[in-house]
Amino acid sequence: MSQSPNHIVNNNTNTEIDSSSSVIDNSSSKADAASNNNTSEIIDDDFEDVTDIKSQSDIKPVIKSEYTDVLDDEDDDDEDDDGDFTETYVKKSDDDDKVTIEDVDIPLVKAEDDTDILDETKSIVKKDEDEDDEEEEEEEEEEDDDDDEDDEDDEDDTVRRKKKKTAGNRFLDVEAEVDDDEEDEEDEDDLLLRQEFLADDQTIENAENEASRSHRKLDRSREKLAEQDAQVLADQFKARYGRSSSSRYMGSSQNISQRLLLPSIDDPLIWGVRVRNGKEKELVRQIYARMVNMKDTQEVFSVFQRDNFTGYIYIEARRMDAVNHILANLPGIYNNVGKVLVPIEEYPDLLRPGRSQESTLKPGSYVRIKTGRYKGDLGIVDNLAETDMEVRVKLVPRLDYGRSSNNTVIDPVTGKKKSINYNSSKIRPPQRLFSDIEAQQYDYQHLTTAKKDRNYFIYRNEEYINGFLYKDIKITQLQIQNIKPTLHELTLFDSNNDTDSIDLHSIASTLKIDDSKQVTFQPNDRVEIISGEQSKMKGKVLTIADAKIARILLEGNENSLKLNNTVVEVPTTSLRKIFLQGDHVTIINGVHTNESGLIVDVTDNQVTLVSDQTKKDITVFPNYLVRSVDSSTTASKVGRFELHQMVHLSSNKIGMIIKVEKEIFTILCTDGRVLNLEPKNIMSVLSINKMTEKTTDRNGLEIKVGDVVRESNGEKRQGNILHIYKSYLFLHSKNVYENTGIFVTDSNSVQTIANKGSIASSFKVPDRNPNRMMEPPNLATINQSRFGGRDITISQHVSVRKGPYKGKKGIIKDANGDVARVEMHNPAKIIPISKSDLLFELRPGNYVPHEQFLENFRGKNHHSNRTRPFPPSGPTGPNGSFNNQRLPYNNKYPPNNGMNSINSTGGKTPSWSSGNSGGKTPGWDATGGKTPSWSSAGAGGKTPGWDATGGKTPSWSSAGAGGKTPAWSSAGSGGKTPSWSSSNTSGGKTPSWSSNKSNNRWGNDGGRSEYGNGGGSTWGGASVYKNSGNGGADADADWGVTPTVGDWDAPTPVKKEEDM
Amino acid sequence: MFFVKQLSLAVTLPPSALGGDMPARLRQQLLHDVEGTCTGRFGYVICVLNWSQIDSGKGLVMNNSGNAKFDVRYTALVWRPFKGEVVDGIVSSVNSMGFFADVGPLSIFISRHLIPSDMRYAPAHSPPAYIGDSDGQVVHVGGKVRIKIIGTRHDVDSISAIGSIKEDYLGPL
Repeated sequence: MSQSPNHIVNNNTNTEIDSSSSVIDNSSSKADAASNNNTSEIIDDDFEDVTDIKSQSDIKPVIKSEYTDVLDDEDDDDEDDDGDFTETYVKKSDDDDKVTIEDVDIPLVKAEDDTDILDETKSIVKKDEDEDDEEEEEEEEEEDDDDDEDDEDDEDDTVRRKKKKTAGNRFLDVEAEVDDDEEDEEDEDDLLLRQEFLADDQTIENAENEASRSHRKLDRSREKLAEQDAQVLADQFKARYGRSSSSRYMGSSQNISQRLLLPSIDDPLIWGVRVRNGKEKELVRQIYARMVNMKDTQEVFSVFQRDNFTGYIYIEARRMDAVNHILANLPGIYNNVGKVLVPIEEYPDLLRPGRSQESTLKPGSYVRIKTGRYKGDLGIVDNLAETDMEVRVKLVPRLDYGRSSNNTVIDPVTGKKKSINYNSSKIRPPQRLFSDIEAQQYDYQHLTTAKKDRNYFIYRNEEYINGFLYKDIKITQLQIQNIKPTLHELTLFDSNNDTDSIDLHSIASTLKIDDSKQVTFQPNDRVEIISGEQSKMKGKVLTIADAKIARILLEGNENSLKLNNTVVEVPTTSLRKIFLQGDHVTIINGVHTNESGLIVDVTDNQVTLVSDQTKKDITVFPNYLVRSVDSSTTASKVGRFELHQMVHLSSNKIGMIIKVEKEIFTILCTDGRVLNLEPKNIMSVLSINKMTEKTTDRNGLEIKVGDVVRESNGEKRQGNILHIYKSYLFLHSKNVYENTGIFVTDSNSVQTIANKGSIASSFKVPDRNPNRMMEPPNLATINQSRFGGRDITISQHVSVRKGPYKGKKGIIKDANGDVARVEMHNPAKIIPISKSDLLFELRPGNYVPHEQFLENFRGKNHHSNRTRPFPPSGPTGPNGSFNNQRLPYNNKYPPNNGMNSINSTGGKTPSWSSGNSGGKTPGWDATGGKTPSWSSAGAGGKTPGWDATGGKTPSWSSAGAGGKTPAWSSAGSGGKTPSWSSSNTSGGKTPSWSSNKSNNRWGNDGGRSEYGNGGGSTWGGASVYKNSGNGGADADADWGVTPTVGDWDAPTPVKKEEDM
Repeated sequence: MFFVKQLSLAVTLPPSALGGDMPARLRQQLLHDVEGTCTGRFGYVICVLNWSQIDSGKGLVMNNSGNAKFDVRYTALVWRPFKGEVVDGIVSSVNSMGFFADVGPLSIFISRHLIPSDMRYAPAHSPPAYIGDSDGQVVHVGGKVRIKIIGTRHDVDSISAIGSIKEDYLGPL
C-alpha cells in the first residue's frame, strides 16, 4: 500500500462527472484543512465526536447535514434538463484491486453515501439563523457526552486519534448505523481498520509511516475475514448497513449555518488557467488522466471547468507548482497568461450551478451556420449523427448552377487568373429552393437524379430533397444557441410546406434563455420550484424583489407536510407557474401574446389552452401565462385596431378584422377573401354609424347589427350580424370554423331569423300608448311585395311596343327600376327603354305587357305566401254595375293576384302610414303611370267590365276622367273623384274614398286590406268599402275593429251626410 | 346549478302606461327585460317566478321625462354553470378540435384534449363524429352527452365554458 490514505478516501466517495462528487471532494479537502489546523471548531468537534461508535447515531445527522449543506450550494437538480455540465475529475486510486477489504467495504459505503446525499439535499430547508444557534448548542452538549466515552476506550494519543477518526467519519457516516448491541470484539478491529484506511488528512510522510502498519493490519483482517463464513459476513453487513434507510436523517439538525461551511483560507486554492476556447472539456479530461497516471500529482485535488466561464479550467491544489507540474507541456494551455487565483469568497459562486448555456440539439432545432457559403444562414436540424460530432442540417440552398463557378477573373495587377471563390460568403447567390430544371439547364453534368419521384437529387455531391439542401455539418461550425429566426427565414423554410404552422416549439427552445428574463411573477401566483434544493415544492408567491428573488410560502405539498407554511426565497429563474385545467389565462409572451383562453391541458412544462378568440389550441410555457381576471373581456386591441372592426384597406376596399395577433391582423374582405396584414398595411378604421348600419334582407325586412339571419341559398349558414357595410353583411356563426366563425354574405341573399333581443321588439314599451299607436305594417304582407335578388325582367325576350324601336325585339340585359337596357337583335346595340314600353315574351309568340308579366311572375311565386285572407269578395255592394264590372275582372284575375300586385307597389311606399290621397303615393302613381297596362290588361284580358263602364277606352285614365289625367290622382285631388263617379254609376259612394284617403288611421288599418283591394287590381275591395260606407251597419261592423270610428267620421263630411 | 334568486330591476314606464293596466305593463316589461338574459354574475335568468305577485313598489315620476320608474323586486330562477358541475347537453357541432354541446342556453366547448384518447375524430363519418375505439361510443351532432364543466369564463353579459368527458361516467349517453 504505497498509496496515501488520502487517495483511498477519495476513491470512496467520488464518481466522475458528477457535480456532487466534486463538491464532496471539496468538502473533504476543506475538512482536511480543518482538522489540520483546528480552526473551525464545530467541524472539528463533529469529526471528533463521530469517532465514537456508540454516539454515532446521535451525531450522524450533523455530519450528514454537513455534507448536504455543503452540497446545498452546489446542488443541481438532477432531473433538471439544464443540468450542470461541469466536468470534474477527482483523484481515484489506481490500485483498487490491491486490497480486498476495500473492495468489500468501500463500495457499499460509497453507495450509501451517495444516495444519502442525494436524498437529503432535496429535503433540506433553510431556516433562520437563530434556530441554527439552538442546534449548535445541542450538538455541543452531545459532544461533551461523547468526549467522556471517548476517554474510556482509546489508547492512541489524542491528536492522532482525532485525525484518524475524523477521517473515518467524514466519509463513513455509515458507522452511525451500527447498533450498540452489535459491537462485539470485532468492532475494535473494524474500527482500527477503518481508522487506518480512511485517515485522509495525513501528510505523505505520515502516510508512508503508516503504510507498513496498515499492511499488517490488513493482513490480519484478511485472515480474519477468511475465517468467517460468507453468510455470516453478509449478515453482518446487512445488520450494520441495512437499517440505514429507516434510521437515517432525523431532520432535526438540518440547519447548520451555511456560513460555517463556506470555504476558508485553509482550504486548497483554486487556480483558473486560461486555455483555448472550446478545449476546456478536453483539457479537463487530459489533466484528469495525468492526475491518475502521473507521478507526484497528489497535490492536485481536482480539476474542473465551468460552462459559464469559457476559456478557463480550474485546478484545485495547495501550491502553484503542483498546478504547473500537472500542466506541463499540455497543448492548449496559455502559459504566458498568468494563472488566476480565485478569491476564496468567489468559490461558492464559481461552483454554483448555473443554468446551462448548452441547449441540446434535437431534430427540428434551429441553428445557424458559422462558416462557408451558408454563413449566417438559418438551418433546421434534420438529424444527428451517431458520433455527436456532425449534424445533418436542412438549408435553403444558395445555388447559381455553375454559372459563376468557372468564372475566372484576370487580376489586373498580377495578370494571373484568379477564380472567384465559389464558397465565399461575400459573393453568393440568394437563397432559393433547388430547382432541378435549372440544374438540368445550366449544369447538368453535375446533377445526378437519385430518386426523382421523391424529389431527391444529388447535385455537386450534395443532397437536395424537396428543394432543400441537406448537409452534414460539424457541430463546431454551428451556432446553436440563441437563434432567433426571422419571419422571412421561416417563410423560406415554410414555402414548400402546406401547413402554415411554424414549429413554435423549436423557436421557443432556442429562445428560451432570452425569454426567461421576461417572465413575470406576481404575488399570489401559484408556483412550483423547479430547481435547487426545494425542487418540486409548491407554494405561493408572497413578494418579488427586483423581479429576481421571490419569497415563497410553501403550501400544498402532501409529501412534506411539515415544510408547508415555511417561507423560502428562490430566484425567479427556478420557478414555474402552476395552472390548473379550466383556469382562464392570458398569454403575455411569445407569438401568441395577448391571447386569452381556458386551459384544457397541463403537462409538465406545457400548457394547452383554447383561445377565446379562435377556439383553437395553443400550447405555451406556463411562465408565459398570467391568470386573467375572470370577467375580463378578450384582450383584442392592438394599436389602432381591434377585433371585429371594419377597416379600410384601400380607398375602395374594406374588410373586417377577424383575428388579432401580435403584429398581424387577419382581415376578411367583402369579397370573402382573407388577408393577413400588418398594421401598417391597413389604411384606417372605417367609421361606422350604428344608426346607418341597416339594410334589408331579401324580403325587404330591415336588418341591423345583432340580428340573426340565414343565407337563403348556398350553405344556408346562419349567423349574427356583426357589421353591415353597404349590402355586405359580416356574420358570425358558431357552426362555422374557418375565419373564427365569421363570413361575409350579401344582404339580398339572407333572410331574417330573429331580430335583436329575440323576443319581438314590439314588446318594447313604446313612447306612446300602444293602444293609440298605429299598428306597424304587417310584415308578412310586405314580405310578399318585395322581390328579392335580381330584377326578374333581366334576360327576358321582349318586343318594343312604342317609340322609335317599336316592333323590334331584343333581350333585356340589365334593368334598373323602370328602365330596362335592351339588347336589340337587329341593330346590335343596347338601348335603355322604359319597361312599360316593352312586351314580354312569356311563351314564344305570346307577348304580354310589363304589368302582366309581373303578375304572372308573382302569381307563381307568391301564391302561397299570402297570409292575409282576402276580404269578402262577394259583390254585396249595391252598385250593380260596379259589381258587374268587377266580376269579370275578378274572374280574370283571382283576387289574391290582384292584391299582390297592389301590394307590390303600395308596399314600398309610405302610403300606408301617410294614408294620404292616393294620388301622392307612388304606389298609386305607379299604377296610374302604368295605366296603359291596365288598359291593356283589360283589353288583353278581355274584361268586359271595363269595356262596359269606360266605354271603349281601354285605359283607366280615359275611363276615369275622360280626360288624360291619371285616374287616381285626379280622384284624390279632385275630391269629387270624377273618375270614380264616371266609372261608377253611384257617385254617392265615392266620397268614402276620398275621406278614407285623408284619414291616417284608415290608411294603416283598414287601408291595408281595403285600400289594397280598392286601389288594387281588384275592384272588390273598393266595392266592399263602398258597401260598408253605404250600409251603416256593415260599415260599423267593419270599422268597429278599429277604434277610430270617430276619427273616421270626422274628416268625411260626405259620409256623415250620408249617415244622417 | 339552479338557484332561486331575489333580484331587482329598475323599470321605467311612459306616462301613457300609467293607467289601470299599469301592473300588467310592468310585468310584461319585466319579463321581457330579464327572462332569457344572461349576467356574468348570476348566470342565465331562466324565468321569473310567481310573476303574478311581483313587488313593484311605488313608482317615482322622473323629473325630466315624466316617465315613472319602478324598482321591481322579483324572484327568478337562475342557472349558473360552475366549475366541476356535471351537466347533460346536446352536441351542437363537432370538429377536429373538439365539439360544442349546448346545455340549455350555454354552449360548452369540449376540446380534444378533454376527450378520452381512445375516442378519435372521424371526419369521414356523416355527420362528423368522435368515435370510441373500443366501446363504439359516438359523439355526433344532436347526440346527448354528459359533461363535466372544468372552466368557465364570465363576461358581463355572457358565459362561456369548457368541459371534459375524460372521466368515468362522462361522455355520450
